[in-house]
Amino acid sequence: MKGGKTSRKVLNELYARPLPLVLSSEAYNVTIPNVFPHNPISWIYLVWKIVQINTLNRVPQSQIPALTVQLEESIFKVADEADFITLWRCGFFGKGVLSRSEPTWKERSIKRFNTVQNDKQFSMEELTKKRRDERKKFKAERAKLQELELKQRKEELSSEDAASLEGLKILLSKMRMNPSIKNISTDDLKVETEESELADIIDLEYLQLQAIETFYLKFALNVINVYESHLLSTLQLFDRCCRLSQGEGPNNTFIIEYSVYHYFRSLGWCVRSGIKFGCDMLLYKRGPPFTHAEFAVMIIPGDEKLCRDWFDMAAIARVIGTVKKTLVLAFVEYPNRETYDQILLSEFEDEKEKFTQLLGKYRVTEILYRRWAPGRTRD
Amino acid sequence: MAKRVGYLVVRTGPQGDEAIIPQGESNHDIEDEVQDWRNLSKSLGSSTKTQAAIPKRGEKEFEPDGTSVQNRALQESRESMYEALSGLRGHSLKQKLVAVWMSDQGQSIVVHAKGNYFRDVGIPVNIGTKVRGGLMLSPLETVYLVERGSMVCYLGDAHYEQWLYNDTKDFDYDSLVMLDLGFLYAIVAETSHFDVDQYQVYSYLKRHGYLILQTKAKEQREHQAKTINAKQQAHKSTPETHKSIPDTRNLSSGLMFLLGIGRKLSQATSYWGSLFSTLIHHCKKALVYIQSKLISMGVFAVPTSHSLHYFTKHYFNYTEVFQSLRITPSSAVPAPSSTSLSFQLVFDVWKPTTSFSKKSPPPPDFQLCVVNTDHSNFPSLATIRSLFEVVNKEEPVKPTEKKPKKKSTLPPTKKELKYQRQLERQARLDAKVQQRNLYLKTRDNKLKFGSSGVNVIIATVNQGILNFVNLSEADFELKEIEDLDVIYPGKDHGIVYMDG
Repeated sequence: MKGGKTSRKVLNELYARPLPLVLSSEAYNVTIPNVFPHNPISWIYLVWKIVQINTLNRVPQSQIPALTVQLEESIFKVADEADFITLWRCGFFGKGVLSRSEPTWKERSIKRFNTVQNDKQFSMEELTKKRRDERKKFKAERAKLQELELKQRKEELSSEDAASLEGLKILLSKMRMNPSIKNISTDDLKVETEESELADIIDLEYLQLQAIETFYLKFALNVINVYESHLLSTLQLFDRCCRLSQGEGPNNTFIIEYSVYHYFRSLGWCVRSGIKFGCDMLLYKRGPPFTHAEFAVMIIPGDEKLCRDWFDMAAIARVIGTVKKTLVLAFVEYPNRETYDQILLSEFEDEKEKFTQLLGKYRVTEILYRRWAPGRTRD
Repeated sequence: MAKRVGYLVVRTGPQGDEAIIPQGESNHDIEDEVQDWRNLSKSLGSSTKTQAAIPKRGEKEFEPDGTSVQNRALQESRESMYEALSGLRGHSLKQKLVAVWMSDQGQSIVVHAKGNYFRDVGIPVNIGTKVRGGLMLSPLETVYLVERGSMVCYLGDAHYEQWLYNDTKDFDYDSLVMLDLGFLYAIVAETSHFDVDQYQVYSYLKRHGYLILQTKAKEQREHQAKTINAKQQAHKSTPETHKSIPDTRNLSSGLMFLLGIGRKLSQATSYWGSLFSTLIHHCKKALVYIQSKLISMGVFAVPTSHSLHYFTKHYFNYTEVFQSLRITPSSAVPAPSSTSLSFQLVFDVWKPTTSFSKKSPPPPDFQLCVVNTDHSNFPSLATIRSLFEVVNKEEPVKPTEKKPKKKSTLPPTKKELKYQRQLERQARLDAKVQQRNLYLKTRDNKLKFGSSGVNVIIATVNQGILNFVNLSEADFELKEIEDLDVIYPGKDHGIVYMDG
C-alpha cells in the first residue's frame, strides 16, 4: 500500500502545470523543433511547423471555459469541485475552507466513513496526525527507558528489568532510524461505522481565494469569471478588492500587495500567504507539496512616513530564521495620486491594458534582511 | 490511583487501563489537526481532574535523580572551575604598555608600542628624534585596551608634553595621575566624541577577534562613491544599447525593425528619403491592417497586454508564459528624494587574518553602521539605497588557498564524510546533470545572499544589548549575472520555474 511521502514522479505528474493555462505543446503533443544555424533545412522546418500550428490548430486556452468564482460577503469562493482542483493543482491557488490548504475534505470524509475502498495516498492532515501519534509513542517508550536507566544507577535493576532495558534500547534506535510513517495503512484512520450510516458524501467544502489571487487569475491570466450578482469586469473587480482592503488611492493595501504578488508570480514563484509566519507572503519554488517555502516576503510601501520599528523587524526575522527561510523586504514605490487617477479614468481599448499601464508605475525593490552573528562568520 | 511513569499519568478509568496525556503536554497544535471528536468525548468521559504535570524532555546534565551519581559529577565540575579561577595571574613588567591621554587632542599617545595589539589599532606618529614608531590611539581604542587590562593610561600634563618635544632621557610616569577605568571613561566622554554605543559594538567585535578600523573620512568616501558611481554609470549605459534591439519573438515588430533600418539609410539621400518615408508609411499601414486581420482570423496573436492574449497565442513552454506576464516598471515612478544620510558607516571590519596592514587595508569583509533603537527606526528604502551607494563595492579578498592541513590523526567528522560522499555522488552523475546542479546551486546562492554582493551591517544597540542586522541588495530578476550566464548563456535566470 502506498502512503507517506509521495514520489517525485507522481508529484510531477499531478502538478505538471505551474499555471492554469494549457500549452499548445501539451494539447497537440507538438514541440518546436531545434534550429541549427548552419542548417537551412532546419530553418524551413521550423517555419513550416509554426505555420502549421498557427493555421491548423486553435489555441487550446480559447477552448477552455472560464472557471467560476463567486464573491459573497467579501469572500471569493470557488464551489465547483473540478474548478478548485484545477486551481489547486495548477499553481496552488486558494485554500480549502475545511482543510489545511489543499481541499481534501471530501476525500478524507470518504475514507473516514469507509464508503469507498480506495488505497489512495494519505492527505497531509492524516500524515501529520499519524506522525504526531508516533512521536507520542516514541516519547512514552523513551520515558520508560529513562526510568529503567535510573533504576540501573540506583542499582535496583532486576534481571527482568535489564532484559527489557536492552529491548527498549533496540526498539528506540529502530524507531529513530525508520519511522513507520512510510508504511501505514488506511485501516488506522477508519472510523467504525455501521452499514446503515453509509451514504453519499456531499462536498461541503469550497475553495477560498485571496483577493490578490482572484485579481491575478482575472487580470493577468483571464481564466476565471467573477460573479457577484452579475459578472464583474476587471475594473469592477479591482474596485471591490480595493474596497476590501485598507486605504485608498495609489498606496492602498490591495494594489501594493498585488504589485508584489504579480512580480513574484511572473518570475515563476508559487506565492502563498505568509500569515502563519507573521509576514505577507511565502515564496515556494514549485509549491507546497514539493519543498518548503524558501523565502518570506514582507511588503513595505516605498516612502512610508511611519518607519518600521527595529523590534518588530527583529521579531519577524527571528521567526523566519528559525524556520530556515530568508526574509525579503519588498519595498514598493508607487505613483502619485494624479498619475494613478489619470490612468484609471482614461479610456483604453482593453481593460488589461489599463492595469498593465497602472502596474507599470509600481516598482518592487528587494532587500534581504538577515541576522548577523559575529561569532559564526569569523572563519 | 494515579501512578507516574515519566511524564505519562496512567489512570485506571471506567473503561479499563488507558494512558491519558495530561493537558498542556507537548506542543499539540489543535489548529493544524483534523478535529476528532472522539478525543474530546474520551477526555470528558474519564475523570475531569487532570493533573498538571510539567513535561519532561530528554535528559539534563546534573539533574538530581535520587542517586549520588549526578551530585558527584556536579561537585567535580565545580571544583575544576574553582581550580582554574584560583590560578596565579599577573603582568610582566617588561610588557607593560603605557599610554598617556592628551586632553587637548582627544587622543592618547603610546610612545613605546609593544605586544600584538596594534595590527589594527592606532595611527603611527613620530615626534622629534626620540619618539619613533609611536602610536596615537583614538578614544575607542584607548578605552578598549585599558578595559581589557592590557594597557595602563595616565593623564598627560604640561610637564609631559614638554618632555615629549624636548630631549630629556627618561620620564617618570609616576609623576602623572594614573587613570582608572571609571576616570578614563569620564575624561574620554568629556573631551572627545565618545559614543558609548559605538564603543560597545567595537569592543564586542574586537573580543570576537575581528580586525576593525574606523571607516575613512566622509569626504574620502564620497570621492570614492563618485568614482564608483561613474563606473557604474559606464556599466549601465552598455545594457541600454542591448535593449534597443527589439523583441524578435514578435514577428511584426521584427519587420518594424527592418523598416527602422531602412529609415536610417534613407536619411542619407533626401530624394530617396522622401520616397522611402512614404513607402514606409504605407507599409506600416498595411502591416497593421494585416495584423488585425490575422488576429481576427486566429492566426496571429494579440499583444500580451490584451486580455485575450492567452486565447490567441500558442505557447510551448511556461518560461515564455512567465516572460509574457512580466510587467516592466516604467521609469515614471517618482525618484527617491535624496535624504540626508542619517545612517553613517562607522566601522570597517575584517575577519581575523594573519596578513593585515592597517596602512593599506584590503577591502573590508563587513561595513557597519551603529544605531540606537531609542533614537532611530528601521531605515527607509532611500536610506538603505544611499548606504548601498557608499559601501565598498570591491569584493573582499578571498583567503588564498591554505596550505594543505597537516594530516589530522582524528577520523573524519560526520560533516566531512557527508561532504565527501556528496562529491563522489556528484562526480558519478551525467555531465549535463552536474551542470544543471551547479547552475541551481549558484542561482540559489544569488537569491539567498543577494545578486550583487552589496551589503551593509547595521548594529542596533538597545541599552547595552546588541543585535546585528545584515541588509543585502537583491534582485530576484537576476539580470546580467555573469556566473549564471557562464553556465546557461541566454537563459532568463530570474524565472525560477524550470521547464522539464
